[in-house]
Amino acid sequence: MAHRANFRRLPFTHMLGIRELRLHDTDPRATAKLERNLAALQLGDFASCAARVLPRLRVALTS
Amino acid sequence: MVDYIGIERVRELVARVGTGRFIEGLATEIESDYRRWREFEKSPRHASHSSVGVIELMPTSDGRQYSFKYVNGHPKNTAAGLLTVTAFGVLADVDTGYPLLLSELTFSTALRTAATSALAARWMARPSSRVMALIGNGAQSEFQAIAFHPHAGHS
Repeated sequence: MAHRANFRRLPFTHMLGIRELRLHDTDPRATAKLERNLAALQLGDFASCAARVLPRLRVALTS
Repeated sequence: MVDYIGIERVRELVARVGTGRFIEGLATEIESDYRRWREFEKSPRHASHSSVGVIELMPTSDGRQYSFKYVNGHPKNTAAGLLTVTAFGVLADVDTGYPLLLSELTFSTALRTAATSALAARWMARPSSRVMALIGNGAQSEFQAIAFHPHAGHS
């Protein structure tokens, strides 16, 4: 499609393979909102990873 | 007549292209500009501080086009249901001095920030990196997550 042709191919030799997000905010409501928004985007495993990893990170950062 | 790109047009464009793909396209443009770094006239941003925030002007030119961004930073705004950062920008033709474009840059700044992060990470992160921490989960963090999604640019 025409609008997709506007962007050139990426010259990067490698793409990042981020599979897991670890979220932290001093305000837990911000983290909850981000989780909801990411879930709504249906980014697949990415969002569920964020949810799963979250409690562990909170512990890691506050202890 | 100076062209104007408002927030609705940018949202429309991003929705049509796809956020991940759009950010990836931006990253490509940013990289090509870094490759001609010396062509740009660079100066420190002009920052006007107050007790509650900052208003900044960011001018640059590559000799053919001139541009500046107006952007503020007011952390207190969030509590009042307002945006912390808002921005707009102007693009002008150096030869005639005519302004070519007036654009919203609030949404665009969020996209550009995410694109720059993804670009920097692709060059500087270990290729084996699999985990990204987002410290601070405000408005920008969603864009950061999208930019680093493995399918960004392919959806």
